[in-house]
Amino acid sequence: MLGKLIKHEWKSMYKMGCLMLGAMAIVTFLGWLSFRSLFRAMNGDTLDPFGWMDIFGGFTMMIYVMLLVCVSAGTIIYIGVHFYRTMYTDEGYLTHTLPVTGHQILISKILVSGLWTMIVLLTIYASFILLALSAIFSLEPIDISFAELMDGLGRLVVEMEAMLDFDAMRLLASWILITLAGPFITTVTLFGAISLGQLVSRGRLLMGVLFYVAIMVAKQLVTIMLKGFASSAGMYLNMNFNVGFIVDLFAAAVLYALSYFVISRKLNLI
Amino acid sequence: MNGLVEILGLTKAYDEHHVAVSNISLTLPRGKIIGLLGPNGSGKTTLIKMLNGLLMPTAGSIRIGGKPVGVETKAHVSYLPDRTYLSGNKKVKQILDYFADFYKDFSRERAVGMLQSLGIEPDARMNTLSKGTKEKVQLILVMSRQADLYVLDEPIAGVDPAARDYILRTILNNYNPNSSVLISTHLIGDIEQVLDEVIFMRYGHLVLYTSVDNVREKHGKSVDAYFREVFAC
Repeated sequence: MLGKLIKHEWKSMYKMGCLMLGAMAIVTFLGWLSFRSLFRAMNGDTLDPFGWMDIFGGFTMMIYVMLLVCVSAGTIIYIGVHFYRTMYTDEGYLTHTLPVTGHQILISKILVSGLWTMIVLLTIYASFILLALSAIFSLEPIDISFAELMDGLGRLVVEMEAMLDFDAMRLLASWILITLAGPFITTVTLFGAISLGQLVSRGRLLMGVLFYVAIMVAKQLVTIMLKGFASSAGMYLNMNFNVGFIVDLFAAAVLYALSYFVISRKLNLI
Repeated sequence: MNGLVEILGLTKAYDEHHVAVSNISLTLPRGKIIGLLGPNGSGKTTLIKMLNGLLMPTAGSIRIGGKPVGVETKAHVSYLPDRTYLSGNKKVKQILDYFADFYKDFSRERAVGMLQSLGIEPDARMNTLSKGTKEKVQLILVMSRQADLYVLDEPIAGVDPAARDYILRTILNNYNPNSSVLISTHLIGDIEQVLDEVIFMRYGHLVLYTSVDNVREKHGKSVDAYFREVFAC
C-alpha cells in the first residue's frame, strides 16, 4: 500500500514540481543573460560601459535572486498547503479512511514532498554553478581551461584550510549529507508544525504557520548556543553543519512522532 | 447474534462540558438498512466518524466484523461523508483508479456502468461538475464497493427529489445483502421506505433502537410521524 500511496502522491504533485523546474530554467536563463552582460561590460567588450545592457544586467540579476527565493519558498508553501488540504480539510476524509496505516500516509507524503524539495534544491545549485562558470568564462574566455579552473579552486581550498584550520572534505561531506537529507527534514518539520496546529480549536492553519516559525527559531537558537563552544573559525565551520544537522534531525524525529500522534489519536476533521 | 458492528459504552467528549456521544452500546446486524436519526447536534456524525476511525473515542469500544477500528475495518467499511471529499483537480477516471488501487472490493465496471447511465464522462474534472453530480459520483464510488458496512452520512441532503430517488435506488440496487447500510439523515419521510431498523439519538444519547415494523406496530405511526413526536420542540 505504501507504493500505491507514493504513486498517487507523486501524481498529485508532479505538475507543481515540473512548474518549479520550468521556473528554475527561466530564472537561470535570466541570470545567465545578466551575468553575461555584466561581465562583458567589465571586460570592455561593450563600447558603452554604462549602457542599457548594464541596466538590464543589474535588473535581471535582481530578478534572478528574487525568483530563486520565490521558487524555493513557493515549493515549501505548496507542499505545506497540499499536506494541509489532503490531511486536515475535506480531502482528509478520504485520506484517513483508506485502509493504510498512519505511518504509511506520513512516509509517502514525506518521501514525495522531500524528493521534490531536493530536486528543486539541486536545480538551484545547478543554476548557481552554471552562472558561476558563465561569469568565469566571460572574464577569461580563452586562457582558462576547466582543468586549470579546478586546480586553482583546489589550491584555494588548501590555503583556506591552512588559514582557518578546518577540514574541507568533512565540510563537503556534511554539505552533501545535508543536501540529501535536508529536504526531507524540512518536510517533516513543516508537516509536524501543521499537525501541531490541529491541536487547537480555532485558526488551525494559522497556528500551524506560527508553530513552524517558532520551531525554526527554536532550532536556530539551540544551534547557535551549541556552536558557541567553537574556539576557532575553522572549528565553527566544522561544527556549523554537524551541530545544525543533529539539531534538525532530533527536531524532525520529535515532529514526526507528534504528527503521527495527531493523526492517530487527535484527528478531528472539521 | 449475527453482529456486524458492536459498540460498547462508547463516549466522545471534546471537553467536560461538550459530550457529543454518551455511553452508547448497541449491536448492528448484517443484512439491514438502518436509519441513524436525530436532530442537529445529536451526535450522529460524531458516531459515524468514530466508526470510520476519523475520531478517537474518549471511552468505550467499537468492533466491526470482530475487529477494532483500524486498517482492517477500513478495508471493509465504505463511507460517504456529508461533504465533497474528492479533489476538484482530479478527473473522474483518476478517482476510479484511486479507488481501484486502494479498495480490493471496488468494482470499476459497476462504477463505470453507473456513471454512464447518468451521462457522467470519465474525463470530466470534478470541479467542472455540479454539486448534485459530485454527490452522485461520490455515492457511485462508495456503492461500487462490496463492503461489509456502508456508512452514508446525509446522502440525500441538498439534492433535488429526482436525485434523491436515484440515490435511494442506487443504495438499494447495489448494497450486498450480507452487508448493512447505516444512513444518517434528517429527511426521514424520503428514506423511511427503504429502512429496516432505526436508531434515534438525542444529545449524544441513544433514545431508541428498534425495527421499523416495531415502530409501526407498537406506536401505530410511521417512523417520520413518531420521530416528530419524540423530538417535538
